[in-house]
Amino acid sequence: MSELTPEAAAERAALNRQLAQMLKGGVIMDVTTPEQARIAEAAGACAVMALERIPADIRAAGGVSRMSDPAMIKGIQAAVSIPVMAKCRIGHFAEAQVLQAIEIDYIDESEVLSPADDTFHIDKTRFAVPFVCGARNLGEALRRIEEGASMIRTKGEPGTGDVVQAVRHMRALNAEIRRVASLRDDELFEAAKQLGVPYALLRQVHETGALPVVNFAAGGIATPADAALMMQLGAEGVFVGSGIFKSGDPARRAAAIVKATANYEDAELLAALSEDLGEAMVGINAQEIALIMEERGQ
Amino acid sequence: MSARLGGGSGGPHPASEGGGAQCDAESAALFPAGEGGAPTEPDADAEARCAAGPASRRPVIAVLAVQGAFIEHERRLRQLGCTTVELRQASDLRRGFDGLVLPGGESTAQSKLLRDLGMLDPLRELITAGLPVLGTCAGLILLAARVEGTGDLRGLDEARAAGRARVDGLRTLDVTVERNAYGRQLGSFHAQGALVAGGGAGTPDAGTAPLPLTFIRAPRITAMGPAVHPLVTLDGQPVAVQQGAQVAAAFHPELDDDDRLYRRFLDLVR
Repeated sequence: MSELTPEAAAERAALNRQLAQMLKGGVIMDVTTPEQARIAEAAGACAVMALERIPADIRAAGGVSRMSDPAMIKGIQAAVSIPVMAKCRIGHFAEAQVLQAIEIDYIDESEVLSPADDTFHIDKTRFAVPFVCGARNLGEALRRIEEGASMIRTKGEPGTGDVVQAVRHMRALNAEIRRVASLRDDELFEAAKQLGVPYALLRQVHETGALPVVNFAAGGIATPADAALMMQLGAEGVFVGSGIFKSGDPARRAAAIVKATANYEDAELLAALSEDLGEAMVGINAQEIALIMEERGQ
Repeated sequence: MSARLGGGSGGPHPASEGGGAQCDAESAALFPAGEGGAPTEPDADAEARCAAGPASRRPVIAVLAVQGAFIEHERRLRQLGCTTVELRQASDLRRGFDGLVLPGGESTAQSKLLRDLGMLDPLRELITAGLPVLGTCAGLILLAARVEGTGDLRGLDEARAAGRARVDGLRTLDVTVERNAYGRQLGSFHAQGALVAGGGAGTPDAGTAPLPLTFIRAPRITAMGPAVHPLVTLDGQPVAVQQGAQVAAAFHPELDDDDRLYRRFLDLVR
């Protein structure tokens, strides 16, 4: 995997951040079959996440959860023209190599799957394909970016249909960014030490008041109002995992969430979009579950 | 070439339907779309006619903001002295604007939202009536009269791709484009393009320096009608074109520092 020259690696890193910019304002949907992928694309998804089981089912099934079958992912790549993402386990660079070999558009090094390494994340700078990683706070986000992630999403608590963790993570991340932006220059060294992040990246956040990459919300988003909430809290787009295909009318709900994300400040439109969507996914409260995925990969 | 492609003809423009958008059509009609016409200076009349317009002489540019990299365009347009408004739903079309930008993003998502939110037909009428428009990447696909294919199929089962969504956009620009023509994300690249000189295509201050180009899962222009001329080429192939007041690029000028394509578009607005 070391064929990338430093120049080529910098070039890919720029292009990969730029692809994330094209996804902004959009909804990325978890799909498990080509049919679901078509429903997502027809509803206006800006990308799909191909996986064998959505997080709610991973949670229900228990056991070790791994990268999906490449044949299944290729079936979804064939079914739609929008970008296709897929998940690999935290630290499992061989799974990431497989996903790069089938030209996946984005790899999610994801806490939803069982971690393969409890210490090290993948060195994502050695890959040509882009990575998105979960984060609960500024420290996690900047560590993932330093490792080569070209897009960040909040972790939330996947597969619960409970948006509370995504809200907590988005608020924490943005509050820390505001704090860093307000520091004196000579306070940044200590802040970098406390956050456990590289000084250069923290300095960038200090100067721009923003992450250097695109930041989406993920984890527990199940309704148009959930998507609007996360957008108003500063998300640049949303991932919807279990919320669509665990609901009563996936096509209708998917289209409503897409429109809500595009018009997240228009309460009248949100009201209309929220009507007659059928049953939302049942959901579990995060305090009722044994497996806390957000703790994975810090 | 289709009869509905009238954007480059200049001359009187049909009044737009829908009262709210009318001032846009009128202000657009002030600016001759034909390439021979000198750029019109902004004048007090234009502002007086467009009641919703600004009190100053800053051109108002609407940026389609349903999905994609619209904030990047807004930032650049403001740096270039424009006021920007976001188009997120049909009621935003009443805000009054002198030009339109269609940003990069996912063309399937954008075209669906344009239609579902009631903006597709009104925008098509405005563009046909001569409203200056700049489309980049997905914006080029939305403007294209013909869209070939549904993206890259290398290594995939073609039969299973038969049901892929097709883009049904504005279809005002007489070109054929092929979506994701350079492949998936691994096919994205940066390059240096050449501005086309002469033929009315180059602005006087455009110069000859290469133009930085960013292609992200980009489309390719595979054919163009007689009213379309290239503005920027890469290896001799057109990657940005103009037809009347429509400017469209397969790349992302909003992601590079070079302003020349924006200036070309804003010359049509002023």
